[in-house]
Amino acid sequence: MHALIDLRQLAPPEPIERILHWLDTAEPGQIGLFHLPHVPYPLYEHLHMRPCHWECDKQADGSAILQLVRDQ
Amino acid sequence: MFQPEFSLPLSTPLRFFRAAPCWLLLASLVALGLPPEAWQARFSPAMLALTHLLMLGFAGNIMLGALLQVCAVLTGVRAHPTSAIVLWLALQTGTGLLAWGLWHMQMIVLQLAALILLAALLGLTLWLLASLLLRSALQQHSPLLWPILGLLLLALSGGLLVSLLSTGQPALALNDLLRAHIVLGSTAWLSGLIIVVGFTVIPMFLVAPAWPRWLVQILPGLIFALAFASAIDARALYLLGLPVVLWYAGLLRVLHQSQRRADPTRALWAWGGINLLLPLMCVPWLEHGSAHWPAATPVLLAAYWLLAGVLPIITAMLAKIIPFLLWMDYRLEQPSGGRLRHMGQLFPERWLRRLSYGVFLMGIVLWPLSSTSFKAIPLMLMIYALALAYCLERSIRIRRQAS
Repeated sequence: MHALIDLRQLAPPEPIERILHWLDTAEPGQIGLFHLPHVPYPLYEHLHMRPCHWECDKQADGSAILQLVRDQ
Repeated sequence: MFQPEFSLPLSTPLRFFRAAPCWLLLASLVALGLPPEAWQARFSPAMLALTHLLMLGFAGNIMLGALLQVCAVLTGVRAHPTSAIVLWLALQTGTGLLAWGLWHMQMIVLQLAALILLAALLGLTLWLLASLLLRSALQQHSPLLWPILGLLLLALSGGLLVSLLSTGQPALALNDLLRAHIVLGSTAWLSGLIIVVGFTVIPMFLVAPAWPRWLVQILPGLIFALAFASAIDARALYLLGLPVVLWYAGLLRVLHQSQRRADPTRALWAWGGINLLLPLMCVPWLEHGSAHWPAATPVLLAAYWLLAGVLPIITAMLAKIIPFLLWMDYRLEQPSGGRLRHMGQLFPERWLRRLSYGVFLMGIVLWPLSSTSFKAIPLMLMIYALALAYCLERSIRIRRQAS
């Protein structure tokens, strides 16, 4: 089970900055779980530029849980 | 998983945002040159021209830029860059011609303006509605549909007004058509879009919980329905304020729960929200008892709605959206690190505070100044337009220099 990192209390663009920083320093195969205040649509373009894949689940309260996997 | 490309080239919304202060500056220059008696007649050629400079040139540019951006980010419906340039050109040309045509009551110019604006806005709204409805089959229905529908009807009613003025056709009562045009523009389109955009930008930038789901689902449709009913029958104007009261109650709750207590945009939203609502509540009494009010009251009420309602909210939106877009653009070029570490470098909070003071002041002094020195209002508006243009251009320059 991976720890869920709660980024809901941060103002933009801090959540995006932290996720990108995590991704840039993660080992291949490492999985990150992030709780965000909203579905992070603007982040997707930045993720496309990096070796990763992800799933994002919108929650009933409007927040979103992003599961990010660092690829090779 | 549904994962389309959500971004829009930075130049697309910026082009609209950068044009807006120029129109505001022009409108304030025009207002400055008007004689005092011009403010008594809301449907005089000069006042009609001024209204369109403000509503189409200033507010229209900002709201269309925001609409294109929000549609791309929230729904994945992206305007083609060339189409966005054509829309921008049509909006600027159409606004200029419309204001000129109204000022001089030149029917051929009015017809040309109406043709350009109708073609552009019908093309945009029909494309957006079709794209959003198609996406609705894949995702949930978007509340953006309602203000877009409002814009479509606004453009159509504007076209009918020009036709009625220039050819006498269709055989509709001018006052009824004017009321329809005003209520569709101010409520179904502009307030509707402000409300829908607020559902996203307030929780996002002010770190607050999401708006209640039921409110997000029913409010935009309800506002549109009541605005449409008011366009058809003036008696529905009495009900028009009710959904806005609901929205304002929700707005206060979300602002109260915001984690960013010191952010100046909280006060701008709260002040702007109440001033979108109050004039709306006064309109039916004005409509049905116009003989009891001073002649300048409708103009003042509209000015108050714009300066104390729309302007604070537009300021709050731009102060967040612009640095965020510039920062996102910078991150695409510079994936990590770099000279820009936070959005405050692009649009410092002190700029926003100064803009806010100007906006609050304009709203507060509008009524007292209206009877003593009306010229001070366009002068303040001119200073605001210059300050807004400075903030926008400076932000863009800081972003460019960081490359």
